[in-house]
Amino acid sequence: MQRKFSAALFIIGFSGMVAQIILIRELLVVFHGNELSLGIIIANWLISEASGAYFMGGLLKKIYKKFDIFIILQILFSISLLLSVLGVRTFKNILGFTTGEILSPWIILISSLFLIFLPSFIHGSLFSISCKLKENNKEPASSIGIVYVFETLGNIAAALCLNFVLLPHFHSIDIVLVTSILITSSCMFLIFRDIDFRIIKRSTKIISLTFFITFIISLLSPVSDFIHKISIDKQWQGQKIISYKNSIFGNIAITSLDEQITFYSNADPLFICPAPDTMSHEELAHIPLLYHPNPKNILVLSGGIGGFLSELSKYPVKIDNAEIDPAIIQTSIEIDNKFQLSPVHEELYNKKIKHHLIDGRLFITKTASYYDAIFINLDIPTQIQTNRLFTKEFMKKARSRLKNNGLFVLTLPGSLNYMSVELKKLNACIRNTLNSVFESVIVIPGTRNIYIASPSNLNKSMDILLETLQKRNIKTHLITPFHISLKLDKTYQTWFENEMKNINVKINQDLTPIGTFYAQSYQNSFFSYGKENIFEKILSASYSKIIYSALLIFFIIFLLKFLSFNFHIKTSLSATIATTGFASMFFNMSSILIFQIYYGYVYYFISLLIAFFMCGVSIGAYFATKHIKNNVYIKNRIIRLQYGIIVLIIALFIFTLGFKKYDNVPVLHFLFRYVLLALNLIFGILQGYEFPTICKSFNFFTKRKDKTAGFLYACDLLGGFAGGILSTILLIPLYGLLRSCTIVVLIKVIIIFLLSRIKLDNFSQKNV
Amino acid sequence: MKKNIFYFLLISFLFFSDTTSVYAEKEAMFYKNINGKTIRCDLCPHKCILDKGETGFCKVRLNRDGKLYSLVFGKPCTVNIGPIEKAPFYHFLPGSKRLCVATAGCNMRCSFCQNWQISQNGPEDIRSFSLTPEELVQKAAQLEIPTICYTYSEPIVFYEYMYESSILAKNSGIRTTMVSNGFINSLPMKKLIPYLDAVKIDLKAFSTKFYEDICDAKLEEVKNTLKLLKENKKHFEIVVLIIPTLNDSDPELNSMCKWISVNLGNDIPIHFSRFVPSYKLTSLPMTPVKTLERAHKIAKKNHLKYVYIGNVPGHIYNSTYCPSCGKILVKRMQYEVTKLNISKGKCKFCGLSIPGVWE
Repeated sequence: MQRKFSAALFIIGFSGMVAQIILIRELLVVFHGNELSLGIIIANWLISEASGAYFMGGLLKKIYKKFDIFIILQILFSISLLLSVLGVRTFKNILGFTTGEILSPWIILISSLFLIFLPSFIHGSLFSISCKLKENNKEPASSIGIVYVFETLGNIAAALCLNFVLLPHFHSIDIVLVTSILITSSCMFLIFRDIDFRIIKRSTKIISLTFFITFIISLLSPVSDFIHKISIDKQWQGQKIISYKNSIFGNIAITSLDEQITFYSNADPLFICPAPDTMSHEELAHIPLLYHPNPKNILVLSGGIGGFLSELSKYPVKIDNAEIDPAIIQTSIEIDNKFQLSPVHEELYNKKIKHHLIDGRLFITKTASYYDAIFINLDIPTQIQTNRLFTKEFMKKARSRLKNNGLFVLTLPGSLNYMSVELKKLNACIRNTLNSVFESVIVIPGTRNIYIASPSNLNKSMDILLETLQKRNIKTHLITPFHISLKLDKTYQTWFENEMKNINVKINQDLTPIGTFYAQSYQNSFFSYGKENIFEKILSASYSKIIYSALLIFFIIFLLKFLSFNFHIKTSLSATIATTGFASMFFNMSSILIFQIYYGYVYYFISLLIAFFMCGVSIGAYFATKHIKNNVYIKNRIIRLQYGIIVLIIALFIFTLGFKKYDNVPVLHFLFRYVLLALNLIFGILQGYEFPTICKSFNFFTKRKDKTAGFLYACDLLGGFAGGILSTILLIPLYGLLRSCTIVVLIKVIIIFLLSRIKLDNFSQKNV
Repeated sequence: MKKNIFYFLLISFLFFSDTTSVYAEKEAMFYKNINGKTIRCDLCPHKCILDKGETGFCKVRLNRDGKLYSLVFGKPCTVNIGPIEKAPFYHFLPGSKRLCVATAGCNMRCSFCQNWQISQNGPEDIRSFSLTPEELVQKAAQLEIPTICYTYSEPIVFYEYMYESSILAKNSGIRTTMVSNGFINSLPMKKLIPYLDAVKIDLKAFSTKFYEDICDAKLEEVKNTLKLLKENKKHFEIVVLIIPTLNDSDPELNSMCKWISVNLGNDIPIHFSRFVPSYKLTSLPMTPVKTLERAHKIAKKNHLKYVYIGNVPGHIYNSTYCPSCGKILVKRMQYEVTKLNISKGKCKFCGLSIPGVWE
């Protein structure tokens, strides 16, 4: 029986990971693939799971039919997961949000909590009840460790399975049904195959069997596809879905409406055909090229397909095109085979254009060519994925691939009648970054500001520009002498310069991606403005204030200690667990962001990273459970674990810094991702070892041992919640990796100080 | 050539040294004191009931001690010059310049607003500067700009500023135009009409639900404004921003065109503009050109004579054609007028009188 129960625990872990990944991916489509929302979603999952574990921990004594509850909870989890996925796809319509409307961070916070609460709460409850059922004749702390190990093994299996089997071949509804079948079949095994469980109610057996059969029928019949189609149609109300798939970079959907095909990436329209956004494409292609005497080689690193390449190909040039998500080119080819829509068809098969199925940033590292112009056709760096083409490090790489009078062109949101503080800061940040790399930078203001940067002087009179335009005689719909005169009027530029006066902002760097922060602040100003904008408030929370606050806490603890105030031991242990949860989430999020900066396909990497991390947790928990005796307080070992965490955080920073310097070395570029995975594995081992160790120590000091698992699990997840939110919103974008690591290290130093000062008083310290 | 360049260099910005956020307060028109403390604003159909210290839905009209004040009188946040075609006015002095002026605030909450930075905020949130009605008219005269255009945010919410400056402009021989959502009560509109030379109304959709859910307003009141303009024989043009899946259905477009044709006449210029993702509505694609052409077809079926497609550079329906001889009257390339075949308000080819303000 114990084996079957362990298998059930494994499946609980498996289903938990599947639920997390599926809901994250589904929610990211609704929330437009923003890493900020990623932090919020993970944090919400953790807090809901923590409440489930804590709630069930408190209820355990009052529950007599524990096994029935265990079975029912698993079935409820399956149902709630399916409902959650459907909820994610339809809630915007149900709640009356306008189709196509973006949501405020507060709505994202609340709606994602609401949408994932049920499955994660139930999953948390399952942890506590599993610990109790697993207890049997063992000590509670050992059972916690064993449950932790099996759940984690399930997590790892799920992460690998999702990456290599489920996500590439099945849609979310199929995956949820497969998981539900696994859950119900494990329940069936437990119920019907073991004599020990005759005590289980008949109704529980019937319910399990009914759902087991229902899930199988739904998966094997067209029901699953039908549900998928209906829910997707609801999500993209009014548009016909032609293609819907997940790439390693995110979700790509293609819709049709009134003979117009729209390509979406994470629910943001990328391009349309057959009548593209002529105004944007023509302005971006033809105006900057007026500043180059004779462009021959052009590189486009994003936003090429869908009209922009067609405009560029009107010149006698060779064009290299690499999209930020190579799946866009692949999907375009697939769709083109069916519809052959202009201008995509011409762009795909134009001999002047060479498409590279490689991430744009990686392309610029690898290419040996030199260019007359490099275009970044992206609107706003709200994501780390896009921001990596707006950083100083990237611009330096781009500059090194430019010929002497080459142009580096990018765009940002703008306005011709009023610039808000948020808009000014975003523009100033990227402009300062351009200025730090290029000798000459000019801006052409508009509703979309066009920035042109060059290693050589860009000063050209209007007469020369108009002469160039007339000489080239390129056929366009918009670019006439009238339009050029209008766009390049000096008074616009003077106005823009006046607006940008006295805006002091930092430059955007890989490891301090503050451009993302300003971009998110600008987007958040849609919902709250100026001083009311949470991002503006965060800006006022200076780094020094945080450091001073940490030092103050440190000082207060020291003072209280000096005054012989004896800290509550259980509080210190809970704080240790919570801060490790915080540090581990910070570590995970940092790894995700670092990976996103240097590789760009984090959605693929997340499940691998989580698998490695969880694998570490499992190994750590296994050794802790096996080697540490029950009910002992092992102070020094816990302190050593804190040192280990500090060392790992510093190692992450040092490795990243080293890689930043040598990322153009192919071997290092290949290896660095495995370094990140290895660091996460080791961090997982430390966290996995710490949890049962502290559980055992906690039990040494508490009478309510049945509550320990739920309570400490809740502390761990609460810390993780704070870590998830703060790392993505505040720490990394605003303060950068170094300063953020310093803050987390400081927190852990305080914990070490707290732990080292604990006096055991009436307790005897054993086995130290 | 130089003259041409000067003519085409339409945009020039005005700079004002005073950029404080201290806003002017002028007692507002059209309000009723209910009980000494509480006020009802009668400017727009929201009819906000305001207690002491409260501002209305528009964020720019404040109840201070039982009196209603406009917080944006003489405090524009943006003043600039642009082509009249950008409004768009296609039957009003083609190829001429307009002096655009706007203050903070709006009485609608459209999630697709292109000027949300000023329209969705109160005067305390954004930078503005001092420019009295007299100074505004003087500026237009100095720069030899024939038209002042109240635009960008919602001119209705800075009614007093618009009203006073348009009276002054009239006396100085400068024309005035209003680019508005038309969500205004009849009395203030009637009082303003004599001082305006042309009005552009944004008809957001033709469904009550759209107006209520997406704009926080009511369609019926906008229809009343349109009828009022017709009754007062004021030149006006209608712009409909066609948003994919939200206001682009055949029945809706048909009932809209039918209503315009029956109630306003078939001489009213109507512009179907292409939606570009903006503000909160960034997850919808640009309007398919086919949809705009479908709308054009529906309008023509309903006998509307002057139907345009906007925001699609180079589209044939961006130009004006004579409904009688079918020849091109005004050829446009986005905001540029490349041919003008109207003389004294008549078609150069067949002599048909074309509605609008041409000289």
